Amino acid sequence: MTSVAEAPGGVLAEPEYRVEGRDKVTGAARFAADVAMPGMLHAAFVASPYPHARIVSVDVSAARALPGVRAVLTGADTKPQRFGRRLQDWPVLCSDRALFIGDRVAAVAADTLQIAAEAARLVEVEYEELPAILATDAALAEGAPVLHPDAGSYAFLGGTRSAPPHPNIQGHGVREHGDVEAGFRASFRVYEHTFAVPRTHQGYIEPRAALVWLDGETVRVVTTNKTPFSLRNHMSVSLGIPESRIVVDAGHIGGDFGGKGLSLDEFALYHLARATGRPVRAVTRYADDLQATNSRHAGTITLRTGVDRVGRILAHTSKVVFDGGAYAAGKPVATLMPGDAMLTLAGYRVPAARVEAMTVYTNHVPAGHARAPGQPQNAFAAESHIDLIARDLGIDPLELRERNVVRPGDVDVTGQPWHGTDGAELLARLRGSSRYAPSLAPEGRPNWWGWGVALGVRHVGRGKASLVLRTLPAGRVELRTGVSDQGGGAHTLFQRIVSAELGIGLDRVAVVRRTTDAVPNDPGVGGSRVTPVQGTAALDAARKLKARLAALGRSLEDAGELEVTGEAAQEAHEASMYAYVLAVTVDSETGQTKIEDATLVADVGTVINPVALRGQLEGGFAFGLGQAVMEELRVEDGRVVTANLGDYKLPTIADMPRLGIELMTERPGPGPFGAKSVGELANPAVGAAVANAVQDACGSRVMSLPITAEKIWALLPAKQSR
Amino acid sequence: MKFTHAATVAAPRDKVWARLMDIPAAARCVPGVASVRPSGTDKYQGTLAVQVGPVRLVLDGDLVVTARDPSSGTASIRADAKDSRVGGAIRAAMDLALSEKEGQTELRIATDLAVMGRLGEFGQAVIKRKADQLMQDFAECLARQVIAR
Repeated sequence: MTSVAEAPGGVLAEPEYRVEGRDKVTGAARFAADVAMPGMLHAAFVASPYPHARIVSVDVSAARALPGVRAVLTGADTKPQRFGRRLQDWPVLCSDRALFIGDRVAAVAADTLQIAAEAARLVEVEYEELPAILATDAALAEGAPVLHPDAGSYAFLGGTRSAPPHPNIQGHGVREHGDVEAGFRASFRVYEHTFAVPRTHQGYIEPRAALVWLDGETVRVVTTNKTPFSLRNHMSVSLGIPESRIVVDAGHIGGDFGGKGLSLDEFALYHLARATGRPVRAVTRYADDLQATNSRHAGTITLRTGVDRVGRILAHTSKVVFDGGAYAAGKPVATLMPGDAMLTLAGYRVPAARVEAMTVYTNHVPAGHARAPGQPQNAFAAESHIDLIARDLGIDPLELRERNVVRPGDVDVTGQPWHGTDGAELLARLRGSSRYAPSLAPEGRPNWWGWGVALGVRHVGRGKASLVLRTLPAGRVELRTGVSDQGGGAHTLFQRIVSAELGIGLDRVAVVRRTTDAVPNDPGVGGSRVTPVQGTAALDAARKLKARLAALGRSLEDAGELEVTGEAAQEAHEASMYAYVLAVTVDSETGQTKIEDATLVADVGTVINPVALRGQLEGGFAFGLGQAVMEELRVEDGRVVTANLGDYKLPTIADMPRLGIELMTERPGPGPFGAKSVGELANPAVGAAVANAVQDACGSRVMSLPITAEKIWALLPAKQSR
Repeated sequence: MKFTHAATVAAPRDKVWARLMDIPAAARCVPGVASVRPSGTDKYQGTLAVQVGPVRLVLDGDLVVTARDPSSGTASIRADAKDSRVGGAIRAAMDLALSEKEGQTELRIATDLAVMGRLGEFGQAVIKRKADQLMQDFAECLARQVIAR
């Protein structure tokens, strides 16, 4: 491992300028929806208005007769094709049953978007409504309809799907270590709490868009998918086309936040392009993006923890039940659960634990991945649970955390020794840098003012990647990568790494993104991966070029044409920790909260992009704040009722309090020059920090997200006093 | 979406009941109802034109009286209607109850409204406000008609 001291300091200390910044502010940056082709057609879809229905008949004759309509396809034209990131259970178009409101039954391609939309309205679908599963317990109840009776025939990428314990379960896991029963027997107190978390949307600004056409034998795809090589693979498996005949172009992406690894339109667009011989484009309306793509999982989380007299954790059990919606297609992990579904008491020393988690099929909008999958839900539950335990024991909540936080070598809830941040040091820094003034009694501080603490952990990204570095005339170099720009600053990161390692100015390093046919395989953006994995590949490329130049006895200025492939295989199980102290005031008449002050201490290792890193932490806080106090993709009778950005509320800059950030940079991570990951580091713990502060301020303990004024007000223990 | 509306009519219950159960006449009390024609026993067909926010909808559909009990003054009505311009449909189950008190009749209407397709993308608040206004106008108009008779 490279230590921080060895890092070439000069360039990393340089101010950071975004490689793609000029193109974005001048409007030159091209997003998927900007791309048009001569003769291009526009697509529209016919969606089921019922959460569960048999499709009796589909009459497309009126739609086909409309002037300007070039193709109308139904499930009969695309069956049995299904797609998905791991389990391919989502039909390209439904042929026998529709499983949620918004499920696609037919697709239209027409000369204009207006004609396509009109034709979609003219498609007559006769449905027979079926009993719908609108809750996870209903899915597992005796006699519940089985939503995927043919699950055994679905493709499962990269392995074999282990048989779920119930046909309506998508994924299930149990993990146990230590003697759990003995731990509970030895406990001074055992606490059990149940928390509820809602569905939320990733909230990216740019809705999904895709353009597909046939170029001879080659299928060309322009997309907002952030994992173009994976999409190439998914399309190959679903559509039965060799990967060598599919080229995916995913350039600038207007925000992803975990949601854009799943593509929906590209598969039907391929069929429309083939049927018409023309390029076909679809741009998702935001209402459809909210109602019918893949939201963050709603769920119910029950935690049970035994502690000794001084509050040390002795044993823990948990049960996490996530509503997976109609399809599991959005989940890329083999467990078919959100990545950290089983991380229910993260960041603590846990000598014995039994953790159970599952995702369940329902007739709701499918759930997939979103920034730090599974963590905002589990962190809200765990950090609220820890706080409730502290308050009941009469121990200051920060102090209880100090007594239990993991230090390197401790066994955590996974049963594995912790490799990561020294939690005790992190909390000491938090105590020092925040104005935390512990007091379980409200005397001596303003009324309706409370402190909330919460911590969180996130693994440093793992995986393999490769990219190409080649020399250009005049001592310049060009790095070619398949990594899309989804806004995180990946290309700027690569430029700074190569520049630092080669000891040349930033202006001599160009970074270019290429389509899937022009660069080596890349895993895409996600899993906190870009800095530690693709960043390491960039460093490897720079080192190889240096070695090549040394072997040839040349300088970069007279290098000639050289090309090297940088590779990385980051398999180290490392994790970072962060923690918040929030000061919150509550309006005694309305329950409205205001965050007065916020402090974040985060273990980030070496900083490569100082501005982007800060942006990720601030953005992570804002993202977490939205889910803490306002965001909820509400569903009634199977329908998303917050189907526009007026009803689905996202935070804006006006909602942001002052956020003090203290970085821990001393302990190097496995990434380039000792870097770690920060993209998914800061968002999960915000909800619990707010909930804890609210209870401290006014006594209301909100057990579900979002923590709205209404919920707080309803729980106010004494509405007139204090 | 569930909501309840109430209005008081200064007339005895049986008079209000008779007016209420004359569906084509009562329906005209809903602003924007263009026509309501019988289409079978306890079945009617009609059109409602309504402005929701910036959008004008024309809802074509059926109305079915699914239960009626003059002795208790209660009735249930189911309405299914489609808009072909915006794309979408509504389905409403309404429970009506009349109760008399000191010569006045209170009309209570409990509605369970399902909005399907693109119509469902309007904000809930917008739909609820529109439904509130329609039902209030309906109840007031009905009260005027009964008294005028």
